[in-house]
Formats: sequence, C-alpha cells, structure tokens
Amino acid sequence: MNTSSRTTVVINYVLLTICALVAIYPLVGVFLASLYPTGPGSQPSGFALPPTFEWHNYVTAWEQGKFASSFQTSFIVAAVMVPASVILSVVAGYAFATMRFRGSQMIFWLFILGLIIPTEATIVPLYYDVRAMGLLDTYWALIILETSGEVAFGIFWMRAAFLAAPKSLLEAARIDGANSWQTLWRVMVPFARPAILTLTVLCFADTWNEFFLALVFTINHTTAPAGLASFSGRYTQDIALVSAGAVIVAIPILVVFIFFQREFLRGMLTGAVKG
Amino acid sequence: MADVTYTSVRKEFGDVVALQDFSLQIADGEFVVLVGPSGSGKTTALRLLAGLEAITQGEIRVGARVVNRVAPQDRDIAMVFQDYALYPQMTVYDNLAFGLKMRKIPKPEIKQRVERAADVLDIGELLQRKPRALSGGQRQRVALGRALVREPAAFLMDEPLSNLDAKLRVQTRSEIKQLQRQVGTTTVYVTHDQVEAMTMGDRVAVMNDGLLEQVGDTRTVYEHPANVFVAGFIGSPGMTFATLDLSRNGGPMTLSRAGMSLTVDPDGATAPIPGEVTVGIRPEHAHVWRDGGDLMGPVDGRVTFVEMLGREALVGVEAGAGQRFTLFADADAKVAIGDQLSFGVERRRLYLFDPATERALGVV
Repeated sequence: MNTSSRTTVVINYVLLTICALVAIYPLVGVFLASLYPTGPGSQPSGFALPPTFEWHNYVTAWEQGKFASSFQTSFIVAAVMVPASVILSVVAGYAFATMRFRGSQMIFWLFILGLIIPTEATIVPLYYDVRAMGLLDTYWALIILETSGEVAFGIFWMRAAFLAAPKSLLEAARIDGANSWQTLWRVMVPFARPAILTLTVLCFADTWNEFFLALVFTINHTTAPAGLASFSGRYTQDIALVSAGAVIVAIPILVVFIFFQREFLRGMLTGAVKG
Repeated sequence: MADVTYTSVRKEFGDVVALQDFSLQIADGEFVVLVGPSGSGKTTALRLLAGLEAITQGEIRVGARVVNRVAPQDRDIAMVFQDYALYPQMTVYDNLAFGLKMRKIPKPEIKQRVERAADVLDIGELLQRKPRALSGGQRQRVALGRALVREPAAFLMDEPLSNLDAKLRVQTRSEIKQLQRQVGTTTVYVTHDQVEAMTMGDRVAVMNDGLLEQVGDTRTVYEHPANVFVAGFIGSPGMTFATLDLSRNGGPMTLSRAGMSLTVDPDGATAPIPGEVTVGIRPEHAHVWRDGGDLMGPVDGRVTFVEMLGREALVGVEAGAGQRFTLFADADAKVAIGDQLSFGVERRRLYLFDPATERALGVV
C-alpha cells in the first residue's frame, strides 16, 4: 500500500469513526439515562454515569407504560402490515419497472404523492373516513393506513430494484416460457432479495415506530411508541423511565436489524455499486 | 428445426428507422451470421425474430408459421444473450432445466435432456454450481446449454462471444460451429466481428444503417463484394480505396490520377465503367514490385507507415495525389517510413466501384 492510499484509508477511518460516534452518542446517552434513579431530584445527562444502576426501572417502565398491551398491538399490526406492504410493493414495483401500459407514468407519480404529502396534512379527512368505516380504535385502522403509506415508498423502492436487473434476464425468462407471474416470483424476486429484505426491515421499523396514527386513531389499541407518552405528565416528565421505555421499544427493531444486517446493507447498496 | 424467412421487414423506434426492407431466407439447418457495425440493425433483426420487439411492417416466418404476433415463448426459438442472462440464484442444473419446467416437461425427461446437454458441452461437473462461481467461458457454455436443452426450431445468438478474451473466443467459435453442425439446428448469429462471421457462417448477411447490403457465402462476400461498404467491412485488414480516372484509347484500360497510372485488363468488368471509378485493393493482393511477374503495375509511392506483424509487415503507401493503399510485405523487407516503394496488384484482384452509387462494377 503506498503512502497516498494509506492516508486515504486513515482519513476514511477517522471520518467513519466520527460518524459512528455521532450516531451512537444519543443511544448510549438514553441507555445511561434509563439507569438513573427516578424521581424529581434525578437529572440524567449525556454520558455521565448514573450514581446507582437502577435496572428495576425497566420493570417499572414495562408495567407503567402498559407495554404488554402496546407490544401486542404493534406486533399484530406489523405481522399483517409488513407482508401486505412488501407483497403489494413487489407486485406493483415489478409492473411499473417492466410493463408498458397506458398511464403508467401518471399512476406511478400518483403513488409517489403518498411519499410527498405529509400524513398531518390528511389526518382530519382520514379520521372521518376511518370513523365512517367504523374502524376507530381497531387494528385495521392502523393496518390499512400504514400499509397505504408504506406502499408508496415500497413501490418506489422495488421499481428501482427491478429496473437495476439486466433486461436480458427478463427476456431470457420470456423466451424460456415463463409468464409475467412466473418471471416475477421465480426470476426477479430472488434477484431482488436484498432489496426486498431491506424493504421488510424498513417497513417493520416504520410500523414499530408509528406514533402519530396510533395517537389519533386508537385509544385501547395503542402502539409501543405511543405507550411512551404515558410517562409524560402535563408538568412533569420522568426522564429515567422514558429512557427505559425507549430502550424497551427499540429492542425489537434492533433484533430485526441485527438479523437482517447483511442483506439490509446489500439492499441499500443495490445499484450503487456495479455488480 | 425449421427454416426462417424475413419478408420486407421494417422496424421503427419512434422517428428512427432501425431496419428497412429486410428480406432474408434462412434454410433449415443453416448457420447464418448477421454482421455489421454498431447501429446497423443486426440485433434488431434478431430481436424481431425472437419476438422481443414488435414488427412495424413486413412478415417473419418460422417454418410455415407467420410469427409476427406470436409471443416469444411460443415461437419455438432459444436465444443466447451477449451477457448470457443466466439466472443468478439458480444452479447450473436449474438454469438449464428452467425452460423445460416452464413447458411442463416431465421431470425424468428434463433430467435426461439436461445431462445430455451437459455432456455435449462438458459442463457435467458444474451442474450444482451457481453462475457466480463460473468463469466467463463456463457461463458461456451454460448459456449455450440452456438453448440446447430446449431442442428448438432455431437458435438465436446475440454476440455470445464478445465477453470472452481473444484466445477463448477463437476456441469457442469453432466449438459453437461444431455443435451447430452436430445438432443441425437453424442458427441466426449476430456479431460485429467480421472474422467471427467469416469463420462461422454458412452464409454471411452484411448489414449497414438498417439495410441488408449483401448476403452470400463467405467466399462470395469476400471475393465479390456488392458495394464499397461490404468491400471495406469484410476482410482484415480492410480493403483500401482510391478514386482514379479511367481512360481507354483503343487498347488496354488505364486508371490514373496525378502521376499514378495502372494499366488493367477490362474483361472482368460486369457493368459499363464511367470516367471516374473507385478502385479497391485488398492488402493481401498487393505486393512489392520486383520483376513484375504476373502483377499489374507498377504503382510508385511513398511509405507512410510500417506495422510489423511478425511473419509479415503491413505497409502503407501514398501514391498519386494522396491516394492511400496498404499492402503486405515480407517481414525482412527493409522498408521504412518515407521510402519510395513500387507495388503491383494481382490480376483479377482490382475491384472497381461506381463512385456515385458505390455499387460494384466488377473485378479486373
């Protein structure tokens, strides 16, 4: 390795270390804060170690935040919404990437509007629609609304993944006798596996982090992040318990990410690096 | 197996005409090579036959059946792609078997056909590997195998050797040719490499700008090019051209310009020769003038370049007013840039073309 490439490697490592520290700092801060004693006199801050390690905060947070119920809601919503979003995104993304049909561009951009328009802008009419359908405070309210939001991103994501596939692969499948459906499931889906798994992780993270819709549309079927709100009073906030709750809520996403880490990174890099 | 017929086929992509008035008849079991530079329409012609593009006008038949509106999977053709298009997640066995599975061929027969193809192509040991674990040459064989197992009416090959290194390309082209003779399947092969075309094809179809310039066996295309384009494209190194004036004063025909003069026998001309002609000379038909022998000439000129090829040297000569020719000289002929050199041309090896239409007038 010559001097200039060694210098480049050193600079890269320094930059990456700084970026990693910036990303990790708040997480470590929240974790340390979660171990501080609770109560009005406690003031957790930054990287300062707590005077005593209050592991019991996690039990208190679990019970006080009613996480048993909200985790159940989040899991049920995720269990339906993630597969539904991924399947719809794969099928629609494939159609937009490989098929020519009248109005395809316009319909695609219509879906992209779902990415551009913030949920807050449509929340009032959505509320009346959901109420008219009798779905207020049900799992279905969250499942339908979150799926429709995720599909907008999912189509955009999967269309890009399928466009990255060599055209000859599709043509070879056609000549080999596969119809569109067989080409999708037997050739294109295995090809786009990293992108699909990445989409799955992103969908799961989005569903799991869902706060706003749960707050508006549910009372008894609230999601895990919405459960965190129970730690905040009008004038008080127990930082140690909120932090412990935040750590509890983050654990499933961490597990899913660790499980799919390799595929997630491959999916994120699809199209960025020539294969 | 079947014959393939293009009749007055035209293909437009928006305002661009990619192929026009393309008619070609390919006999059952024949190996025809479509050759031409980039953008000549050769791949378009192949893709129209495959059904991967829709025909704007005209008709394509595979056997007796018009396939203009037949889906690719129903045309009974198999295609080998330039990038091989192997399914990356499947093993070699599954790649070969995929087309048969889609056609609901019984499993025992699939196994039998895959193993037979693997045997012919010597890829039996690779059947459980994924494409990423194969070399370029092995991938190429698998791509051929995928076409072979289908036992189609015609093989279509779109520059299948262009991703291989030069040595492997030479080896593989003879293997493909041998394989095609062995199975006897009608084959349409596309390449931009005229050496590949000349060595592989029973017949060669030379294309340029969406037009079929000439079709014929390799000898005909080489010895009797239909026009300036074919003459310049076929042959390596290519034919060199000069524009000369013709004079005929009762006796032999003389081609001359700016101090350069060449007396030729006009008997080979197949068309009336105008006052000005484009003269084509292949390097292998021009030789350094010694005692004349049976050569036409001499033509005097100045050496402009010398390329040593080992066994012989390629020499560029400028004669007359900027007319450039190339010829082969012995490797030990001491020729240097700037030297004066006289050369002659073999009889019946001087190609005459009409400068206006660029059509061949004959060989003299």
